[in-house]
Amino acid sequence: VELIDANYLESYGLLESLNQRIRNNLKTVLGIDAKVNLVAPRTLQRYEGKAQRVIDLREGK
Amino acid sequence: VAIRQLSAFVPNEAGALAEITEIFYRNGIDLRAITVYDTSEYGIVRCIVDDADRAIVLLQAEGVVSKISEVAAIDPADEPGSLARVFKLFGDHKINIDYIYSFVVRKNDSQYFVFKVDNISKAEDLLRENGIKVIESLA
Repeated sequence: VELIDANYLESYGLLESLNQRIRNNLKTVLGIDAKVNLVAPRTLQRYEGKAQRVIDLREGK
Repeated sequence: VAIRQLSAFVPNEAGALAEITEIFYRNGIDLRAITVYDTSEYGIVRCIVDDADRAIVLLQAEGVVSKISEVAAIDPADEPGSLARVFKLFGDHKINIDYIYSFVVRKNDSQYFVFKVDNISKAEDLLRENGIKVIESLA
């Protein structure tokens, strides 16, 4: 997740609670418990709208 | 009159601090104090510069999430117990210290201590009332 609001820089506690809130919202809405990392703006790769095909190469599949 | 401190968000990776200091260097911003500690993924750089208003415009123009906040700075007596006195004073008056760092000012051979507290005006009044030298300006 890209951080854009500088007000969270007041303390590590604020950043951590933001992180936890995003994680909780993801869990509530999507049912996914995902680890959330805060990163600088415009550093995450943009969604390109293309299908990404994944081939499962695990044994026994 | 509090001291203005810059805080900037940086990823915890090699070269992240160099990006910030390069911006300062290219634009003639003089860094007086800097401190950072990190979590596993990121850190908050806190620094005191000679021109915080110009510095934050430069950082934001480069896409660095940053803000200015007010901190108290003191020049305590160079003797054992002088900081202990400050901490006791804050503790007695229920002023919570979020963080503290120090730096040396070469021109007057002093060591300044910077405090981020939850009630800065009360903290500065208390310090003055108790004869502790509060720094009004670092320019």
